[in-house]
Amino acid sequence: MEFLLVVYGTERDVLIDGVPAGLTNHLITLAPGAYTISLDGDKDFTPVEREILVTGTSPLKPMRVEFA
Amino acid sequence: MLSPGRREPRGVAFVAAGVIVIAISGLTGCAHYPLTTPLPPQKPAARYAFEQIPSTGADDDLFVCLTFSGGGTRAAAFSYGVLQKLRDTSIVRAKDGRHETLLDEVDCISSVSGGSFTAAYYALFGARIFQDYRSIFLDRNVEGELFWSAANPLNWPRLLSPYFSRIDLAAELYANTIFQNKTYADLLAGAHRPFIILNGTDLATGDGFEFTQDQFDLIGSDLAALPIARAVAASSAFPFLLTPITFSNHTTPGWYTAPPGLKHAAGDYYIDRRRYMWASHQSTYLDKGATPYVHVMDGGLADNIGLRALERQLVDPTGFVARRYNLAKASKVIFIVVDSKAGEPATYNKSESAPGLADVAFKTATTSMDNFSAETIEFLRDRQRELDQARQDVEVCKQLARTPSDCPSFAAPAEIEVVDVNLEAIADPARRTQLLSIGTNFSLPSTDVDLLIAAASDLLDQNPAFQKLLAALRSATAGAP
Repeated sequence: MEFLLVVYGTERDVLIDGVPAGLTNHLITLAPGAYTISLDGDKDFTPVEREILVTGTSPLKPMRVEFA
Repeated sequence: MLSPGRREPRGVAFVAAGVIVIAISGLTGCAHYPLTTPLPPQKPAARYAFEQIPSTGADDDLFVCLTFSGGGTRAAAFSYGVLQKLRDTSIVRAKDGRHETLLDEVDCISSVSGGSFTAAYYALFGARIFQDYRSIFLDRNVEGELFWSAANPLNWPRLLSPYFSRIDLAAELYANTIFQNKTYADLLAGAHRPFIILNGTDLATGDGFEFTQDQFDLIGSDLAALPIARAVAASSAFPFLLTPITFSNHTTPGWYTAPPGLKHAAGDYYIDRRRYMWASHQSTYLDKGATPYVHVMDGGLADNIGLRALERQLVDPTGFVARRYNLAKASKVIFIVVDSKAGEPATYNKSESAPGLADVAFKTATTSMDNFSAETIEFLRDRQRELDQARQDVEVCKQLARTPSDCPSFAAPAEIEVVDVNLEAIADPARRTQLLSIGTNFSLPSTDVDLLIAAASDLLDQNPAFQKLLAALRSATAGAP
């Protein structure tokens, strides 16, 4: 089990492979592997999406993905 | 040299035989399994997917999924006993004080083979299962009816067709006598949970084949038009006794795009072999030229307890279980795994002579099922422990950190509970042996059905995880409005 933390200024749904699958600024559990990460709602953030490879994380050291 | 007078009767016989052959050939040529309906050119609004089936409760705070194993009528009766016990288990919802039963909270059922009869019947007909399911299925000699259906000369011409086989006869029998010719469109129209995943096995890949629209999208087919009986027949088509059910792999329409996870997982070989293999197998359906047909049989070949389908929904972040967890929709996620075991206790070791071919063949087909089932449950328990540990790590971090807000946190402190209901856990050895010796065919005496139903209730009464769940629900109720 891997852990992802998507950081953004406000709470939004996190899109994983296009599906709302978690919340910003909260830990998200997922299987190891490659994913496309973005945010739901208005596309008023950058980058529009991120391609990530999640492996070797822990709840206290999750993979951090930031959107601004 | 034959005289003309003697030649005439032979000529008549020859012509008569020819007519019969042509008639049989004609009938045989007409016999074809029902073809699946291709996906329509426009994306349908309704599809048999979990997110489209409304919750039975006010929300998903208590999220309950059941799995029903294979094992003929033994499995069907045992899983029916669990449904009956959940119906008889009253709870009061903590949020609003509403009285209901634990059965009302069941959100999904994933099933295999014999368990698929119970899952499908309950999903279609709800509480009616407690009135008529025994007479309609559990107490019937379905195996005998299957035999006589195949022995009926009227069915022989159809059975001679290469495109129609015993499993198609079985599906017709189930449709007419159990499932009232209902289709997945009827399940969709019912608009209520539980959402069911009937599981088969793709003979080519050896992987699970789920009767959901997500799976049928990959083969370009509309699940809504499929009779429930055909899905149940495929899920329970035990090797050698029955033949696979065939589905056409239609070209997908323009609106369809394959899940991005399939492409991503193609590179996961060294990171997550399980995810890689799943994606690799599923991707074969996208190559329509190489895979024009899919042959599906007993789900037990890939996973005899039906748990793998739900585990993927837990570890895949886009899965409906993971989404309840990560989107803070559920505070408790419960898996009740109902396993009647694959076979009967072996008695070979009592004899000096080696087991015969039939015994070896049956053992070969079922041994891996039970071994794999145990590993599958442990895999789920490992995930449960990982998530529990993760929650504890976060709590400790918050207690020790100077600035607790610096610690990562989960959206909701959801707990996962695994309730393992297995005939093997019967405490009394004599009773355990008696129950495990009940056949896994589709014909049982009513007394055996009674024993299995009672065993399900007793096993839940003695199950520590189930009792812990009930205690937690009751303590939460103490603070309810």
